[in-house]
Amino acid sequence: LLFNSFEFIAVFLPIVLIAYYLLSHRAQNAFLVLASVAFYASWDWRFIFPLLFTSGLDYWISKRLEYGANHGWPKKRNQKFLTISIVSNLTLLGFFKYFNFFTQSLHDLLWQVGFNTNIQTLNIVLPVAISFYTFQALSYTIDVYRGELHATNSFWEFFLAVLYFPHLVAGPIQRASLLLPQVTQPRVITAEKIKEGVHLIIWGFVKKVYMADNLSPIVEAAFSDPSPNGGTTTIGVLAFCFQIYCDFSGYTDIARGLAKIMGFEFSLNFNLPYISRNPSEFWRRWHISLSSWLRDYLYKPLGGNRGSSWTTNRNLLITMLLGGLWHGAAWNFVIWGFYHGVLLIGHRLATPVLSLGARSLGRIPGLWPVICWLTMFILTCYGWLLFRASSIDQIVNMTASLVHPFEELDWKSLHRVLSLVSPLILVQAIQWKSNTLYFLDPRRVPTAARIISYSIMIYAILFLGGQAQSFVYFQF
Amino acid sequence: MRVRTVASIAGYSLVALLTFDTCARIDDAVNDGARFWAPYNINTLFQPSEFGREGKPGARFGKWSMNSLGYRGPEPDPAGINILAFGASETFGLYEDVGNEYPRVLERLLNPTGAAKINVINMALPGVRIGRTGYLINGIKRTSAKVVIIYPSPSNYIGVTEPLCRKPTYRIPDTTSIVEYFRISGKMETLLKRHLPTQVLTLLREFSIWQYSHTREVIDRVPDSTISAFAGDLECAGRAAQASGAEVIFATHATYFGKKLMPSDSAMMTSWRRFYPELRDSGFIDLEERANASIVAVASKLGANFIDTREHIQGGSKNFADFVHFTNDGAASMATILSPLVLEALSR
Repeated sequence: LLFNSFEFIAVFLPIVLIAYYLLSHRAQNAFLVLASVAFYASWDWRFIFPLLFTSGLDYWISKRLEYGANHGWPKKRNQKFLTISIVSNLTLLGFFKYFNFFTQSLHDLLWQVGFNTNIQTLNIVLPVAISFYTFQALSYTIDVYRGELHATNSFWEFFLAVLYFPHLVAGPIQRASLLLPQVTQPRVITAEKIKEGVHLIIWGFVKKVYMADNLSPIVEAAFSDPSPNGGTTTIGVLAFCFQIYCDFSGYTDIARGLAKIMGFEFSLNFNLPYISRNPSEFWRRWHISLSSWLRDYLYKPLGGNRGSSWTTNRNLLITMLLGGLWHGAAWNFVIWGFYHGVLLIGHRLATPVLSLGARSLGRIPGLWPVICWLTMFILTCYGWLLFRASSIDQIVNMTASLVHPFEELDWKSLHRVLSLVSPLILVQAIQWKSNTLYFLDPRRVPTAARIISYSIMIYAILFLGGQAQSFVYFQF
Repeated sequence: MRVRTVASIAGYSLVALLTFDTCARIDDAVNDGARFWAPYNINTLFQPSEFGREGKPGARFGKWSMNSLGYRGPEPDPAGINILAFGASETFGLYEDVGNEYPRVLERLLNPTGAAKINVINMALPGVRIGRTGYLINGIKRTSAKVVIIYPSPSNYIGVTEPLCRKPTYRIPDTTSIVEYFRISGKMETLLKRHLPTQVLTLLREFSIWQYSHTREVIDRVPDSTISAFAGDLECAGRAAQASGAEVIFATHATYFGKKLMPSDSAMMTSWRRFYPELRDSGFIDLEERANASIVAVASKLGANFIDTREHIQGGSKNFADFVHFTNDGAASMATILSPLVLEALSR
């Protein structure tokens, strides 16, 4: 059941919404659990078991942690329970997602140094969304351990918070501290919430169906070219830069919109990331739920920026490397994480020089911000090359081709990319200028203008969409 | 207050409808070069004429385009030898990719590199009955065609009891409805057909058939007079072509169902029957059998060539995109079985 499938839009969602609006709060929760199980089981019913295991274990451990905190258990005993939770969750994730990757990498390494091993990989099916729900469940246990959250007394409420179908498959990664209170308390659904929710759903579909799906063939062509020239790489990387943003943020918008029309409130996941002027700003705007998770549950426990410059840089690099690996069991994701780690460290180290540049060029209004923005955009695009590449060889070939970035540039493809993303650029300019992401807010935009805008968007979704593709982040 | 609310909803709905339609017009203009204000649907490919209806020279709609003669496909080579393919939508081509309808494939097969150019001109018209001999004769005269392939569509004769060729021709008026002026209506229909599950589409079609059968008579098989009318028109067309000096090749009619209706074919049959609700399912197979027998009989009577298409082209989804229209594969098979016969006819 993909959000962009006929079955989801025409069958699943109407049934869920009608039933949901008719039921009382407790019945709503029970019904949402059933609906979410059905939604998740539509991929493979067996995927339910690792999810049940993770949720059950974290629920039980959190109860023990709270009991321990209330009854004065020694800290070490609580730490043991937390360790069980972390190790179990990461083992499960590691087995399903990384076992073959590390086994194969070990085999390759040994082979390189002259040992011919007979290490076998396993035929493991990766449960959809395992990376997302593992992090969500882990954050709950850690928050309870830290005393920042009370453990819930209802397994089903916790299970719903983990399983709730809009965010289950590709986030945003919802902290239990945000979602659990919304599960336990009756939710208020207002006309304003429904309007904003529908707005997010429509705009999310425009990004996914019209932009990302139409960009997909251009990206596919560039990244399947065995000997790409500079022009091919430039267009492919530029197209992928917008494809992944429109795909992922489109999914997030739909998820947030669905939650909103059911009275839930999800955290923001994207906030105009491509207007960023430096790497740390980028990570405050891109996949915010993951970057803040990594910051709070990995970077800070490692020491954050409390130690020396060296330890801060080390912590940044470890965090970004693991963040890259979170995306997928492949070396290009590790390299992508490393690359962003280096960018963050480089930006930290270069801050004095950059301040000097800002001061000297600051006399020409707007010049320095534009230089910073353009540099960061190009660096981000190159990062997407690392992310999208299917092998180290491809990274090397495509990087080499970028020595002549405009060589044999296909202007027709470039025009297609720019015409596809021009509505996005227009909308984001409005969002940036008006300082709100809700660009068709009924309080500011007349009804007729909103109806015309929504009609244009619905037309684009229905008639101008590309070949339907799965969401990119579903693989993670 | 209530009146105001209703008026607002009506007003905003109209704004939405007009926006949708404007988007559709811009979309057509940008992607297909369609004129902004003119109607733009499959009917824009045709125009009323002294022969009833004919293709509009230079017209375009979606993947379909007419040449300067008003026939589907590219301009024929003026120095080439001309062959006409005459029939209904099966010949015109609905589902094949551009250039894969059987006349185009046949032309490629007949033109090995270096040989004299042979044009296969697709003068088919969707829904045409083969008795429109005026249109056929005009086509032969305009092109000096050496060979005419006639691939008739028997189901176009359901409800017909007299040959058309003995009746005076009349201009078939343009029947563009007010709904068709809204571009969005056609696009919505296509979208729903593409995305609604087959079960839902079948239910809707069954409902429309039920509505018809509720108020009007439904027959088990077409009367003999229908087959006679079909055979009469076929003979008229064959004789007219022969009198114009062209060799005639008749082709029996092939369908998705082959010779026997299987239970698994019921959804496909319903989609066919929706156009002819007056005839029961079994009547279609019976019509095909009897019409094909009359094609063979007429060909034999006129001493013309014929190919038993139905024997050569297997039913099913590989060759048929719906009940009678070819897929690329089906069109390629049709062209392959026609090509030796055409070469033989040309050599005479």
